[in-house]
Amino acid sequence: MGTRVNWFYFAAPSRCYRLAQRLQPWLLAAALVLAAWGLYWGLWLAPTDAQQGEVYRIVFVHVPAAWMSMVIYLAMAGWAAVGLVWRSRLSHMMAQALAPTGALMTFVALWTGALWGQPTWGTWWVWDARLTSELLLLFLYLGYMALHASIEDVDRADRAASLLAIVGAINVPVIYFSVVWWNTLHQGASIGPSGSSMAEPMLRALLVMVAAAWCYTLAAVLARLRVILLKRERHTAWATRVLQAQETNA
Amino acid sequence: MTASVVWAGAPTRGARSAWRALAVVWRATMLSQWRQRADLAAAWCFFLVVVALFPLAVGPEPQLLQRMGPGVIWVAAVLATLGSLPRWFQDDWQDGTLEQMVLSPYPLPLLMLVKVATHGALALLPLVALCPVLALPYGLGAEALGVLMAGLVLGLPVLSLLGAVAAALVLGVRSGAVLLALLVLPLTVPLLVLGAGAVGQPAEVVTAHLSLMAAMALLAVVGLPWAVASAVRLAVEG
Amino acid sequence: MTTFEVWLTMGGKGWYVWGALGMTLLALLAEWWVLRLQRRALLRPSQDDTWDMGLESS
Repeated sequence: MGTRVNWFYFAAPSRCYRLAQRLQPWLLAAALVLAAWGLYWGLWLAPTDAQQGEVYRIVFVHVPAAWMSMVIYLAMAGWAAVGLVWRSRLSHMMAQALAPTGALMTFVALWTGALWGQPTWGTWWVWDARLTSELLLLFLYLGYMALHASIEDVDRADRAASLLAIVGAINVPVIYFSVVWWNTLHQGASIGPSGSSMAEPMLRALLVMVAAAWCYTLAAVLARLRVILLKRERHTAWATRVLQAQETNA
Repeated sequence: MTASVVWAGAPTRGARSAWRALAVVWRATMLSQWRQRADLAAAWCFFLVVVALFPLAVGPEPQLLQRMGPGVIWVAAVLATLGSLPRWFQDDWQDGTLEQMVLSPYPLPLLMLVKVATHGALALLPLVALCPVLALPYGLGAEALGVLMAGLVLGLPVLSLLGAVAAALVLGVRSGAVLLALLVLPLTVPLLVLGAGAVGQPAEVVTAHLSLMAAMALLAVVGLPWAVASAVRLAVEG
Repeated sequence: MTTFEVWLTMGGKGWYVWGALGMTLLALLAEWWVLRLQRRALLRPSQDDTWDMGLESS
């Protein structure tokens, strides 16, 4: 008979803070190493594309950013649901920590998509399903952040924003598929980054970049979570100790 | 007789009284909206003005207007509903009626469904009724008009319920109206794509679009009232 | 042109590719810089945090 796992061990803010503090440098280092490796592979080693030439290499930044933007939103909605069901403040704080990074990833995906589109297809913007859904996802992130920032009472803000995140999450696939439908109807807009099959070495470099993006995201989100924890729990004993220690170091 | 007094007259026990409670919500909402009929009419006029503005801005070329017409009418309808959203919960929240609904023994999602349906119908059905008139400046034929109106009616539940969730979330929040736009408009994209996109398409495509919208409407009616109720509870208790 | 030169200019579209990479890097650095600013603000005695971004005062 083994020991029972206490799933709620890290639900205490002080323990969560220390865990985040310990993980962060490793995650950041992993992100840098993986990004260096992935970029070396993708930018230098991978062969020139037959149709797009060298410009396709933007995909090594565009695709990881786009994937992360969607994964982060799902994670955000997941933590929001946990926060609403188990009434745990920390879950809401995690969702709050995820949002800005998610918005940034969405922004990067949109910008790099435009920079890819212009030399490849001749237009800065194309209303294909993925870019359009990315744009709407950016608005969903901004809406979440704006709602949370506008409500004075932090608990109400947490729960309201979490409710919004869940409603938004259910809508994201609906939005995506409706735009896919819209595109198949209006054939003119169907040129764009389609799901083309990638050659083997390119795919491997892409996966490394995606792993780098994961590590970076976790590092940034944990860093933000620490800031949120300190700010919200400022009055508690553990937070005062941490802040005092940082002040003497600073 | 204020809305809250009407609400206080509801009986408190039994299944039959639950139905009566819903009827009370409906009556109270209609009453309060009748008293604010000027605001309602303003929203309808806003719709008309927006729809009239577009041809002036893009030029009178009939083919262009025919292609744009459904889209413009849909966007104007969404914007007009958006404009009326803040008033759906504001008064009841301020005079305590909403709190009474939350505290009542009746299932809050059901009460909210009736309230939202009333507000939504008052905001949108007149716009649907105005569509035949608007078909003339945009040169929409009878068939296109039919598809447009059917789409608007099918989109009414989703639009009202999504709008209601957002309106309840921003109750008492500063700059709530602007925030409301940011929250609601991205979520209305599937409706716009399906509703406006159905016009002018062959029959099978139209059926597909309208079936999808009907499915979304059913899902919304089943799932979203819970979200509206949660948001209202947050506003009342938070 | 040697392979390296072709690579550096990305077949003539160098601005796009390096611009995209550079912009991404800038965005990520900006994120960390904002976090650093927020951490610094925590250390000051609690005052009116009107300028920090997205974290409202509890």
